[in-house]
Amino acid sequence: MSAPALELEGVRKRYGSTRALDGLSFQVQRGSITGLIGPNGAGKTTCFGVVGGLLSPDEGRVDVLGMGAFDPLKAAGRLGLLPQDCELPRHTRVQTYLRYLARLQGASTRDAALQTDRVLDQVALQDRRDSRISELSHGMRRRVAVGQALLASPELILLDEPTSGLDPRLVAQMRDLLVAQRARGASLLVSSHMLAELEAVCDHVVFMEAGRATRSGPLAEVTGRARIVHFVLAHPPELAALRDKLPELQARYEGNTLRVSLPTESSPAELNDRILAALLALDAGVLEVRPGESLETVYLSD
Amino acid sequence: MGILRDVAIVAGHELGEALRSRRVLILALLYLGGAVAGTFILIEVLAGLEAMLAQTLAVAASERPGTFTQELMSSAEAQRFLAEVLDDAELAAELVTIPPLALFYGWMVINFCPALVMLTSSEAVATDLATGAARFSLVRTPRLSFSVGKLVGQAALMAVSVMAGAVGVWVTGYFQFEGFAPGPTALWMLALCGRGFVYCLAYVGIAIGLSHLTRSVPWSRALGLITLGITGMLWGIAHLDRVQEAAGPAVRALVPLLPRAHQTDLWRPDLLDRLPALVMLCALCVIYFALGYRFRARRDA
Repeated sequence: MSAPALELEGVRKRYGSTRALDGLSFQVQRGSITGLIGPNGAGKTTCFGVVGGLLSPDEGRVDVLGMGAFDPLKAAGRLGLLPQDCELPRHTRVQTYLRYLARLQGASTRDAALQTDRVLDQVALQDRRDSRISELSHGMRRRVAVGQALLASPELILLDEPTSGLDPRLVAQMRDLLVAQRARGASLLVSSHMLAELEAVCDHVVFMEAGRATRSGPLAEVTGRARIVHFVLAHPPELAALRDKLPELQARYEGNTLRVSLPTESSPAELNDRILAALLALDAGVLEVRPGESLETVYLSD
Repeated sequence: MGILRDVAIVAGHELGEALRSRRVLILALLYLGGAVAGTFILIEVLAGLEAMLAQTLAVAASERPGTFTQELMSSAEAQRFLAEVLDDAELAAELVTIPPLALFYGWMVINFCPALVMLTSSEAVATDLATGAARFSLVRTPRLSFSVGKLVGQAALMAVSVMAGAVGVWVTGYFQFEGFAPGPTALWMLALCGRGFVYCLAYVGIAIGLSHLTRSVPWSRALGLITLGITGMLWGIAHLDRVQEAAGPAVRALVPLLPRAHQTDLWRPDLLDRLPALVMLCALCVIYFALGYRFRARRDA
């Protein structure tokens, strides 16, 4: 198994008397998308700053791409970062600024132009390449900011609230963009308050609270996709009738949704088939089968 | 090599940004306008003096001022007078060989450019820290190359502005000053541009150093102006007779830390005599820049 793309171990960072990070530990596996979830003030932005080398941790170990702490001279272009609440320079034209940043991470003038073209395609801003940043809407500026993190096709991409201020169509485009980055082998760490969006793209999640990871793991495990199945039914039958057919069933109703906990020793696929067969036999009218809890439900109940 | 490349890229971007935001244009116009206005005022004053003198001597005054001034400048009396004022016969002999308008230009650069530098360069880093834009660069290049790039960019901006001022004085002199020697004046101006540039470089170092101290743009501007005022005051105090008598060697050793302590030496005819001042001014640029940089380097970006 290859080393993780990013590993934090016992990282602490204080601002005066405030503990922004208080022993934060988690990993981002190579070729995966990890969602970083937590309330405002949990330390997510500080975490991004520490990983990107913008902030110095007081204690702990940060290992970026197996090279230790991030050093822009040694790893130019291998890490892309979208920091939160950073304004792009207002007077600069979009392509001029992206080319400058590409050059700064080692690209030749020609490569910088090519990278800029590719990124402008990815964030759908080709038609605004010659616009000054001050002429762009908030959403467009956000896309330029995301685009700069994708220059040079970095191996590790850190995105702090990439969908903030984007309309639903652009959020969907952003989701496709993240998936495409993973498909080419990049590892991503993404923070967002839009949990449904994270759930749609993430392989792993990390819950943060008061500067530390309170829970982390594969999304399927955290949301219980292998252990819980929801059947949304048009005509929910009596539980007793179901248990007559499946005596080992552990289930309860939440409205017209049957929530089934699968025993760990059984094969989920086989059991699901049997439950589905029983529901069809009882004419329950199965409208939807949903594995696991929603990320939002898990997060809010944590 | 990587750091030098990054410095060049940041400096180029800084200059480009100034061009795009029309800051260069405004600065060049400011220097050009100031130079033209200053030269006009000088020529008007000289015209008045020459007319008055012509009337006293009952000779015909020339249509454009300049002839009498140049005669006066090259006279032994003027040289003697200057030698007494400056307490330096060698320097006085050099000054009277400089075309009058080139001399005026050199005086203007040394006396007015530092204020403009402190006004415009002291926000260079603070602006990027305030908006957070610095973070886009700092994830790609070390802090040192980013800060040095800013310094180099601002120095280049100042060089463009100083040159614009020279053009303003030269063009005004060409059309308004009798007996204007275009070639020698241009050559002298070029030489004084270089000396003025090195002199102002020390102030660029101070301004960029100060720019590292705060994330607030208004504060960084205020710090620039306050520092300019303080250095001026310290220079004035250091020249009071009573202070000079009372000051110990340690205090006297601190005076060279003020850029103004080296301005007289910039006029010396021999390069070897000017060299210590030029080196010291470059060193002051590095020292003040390094102090500010060190303050920021130990803090989060």
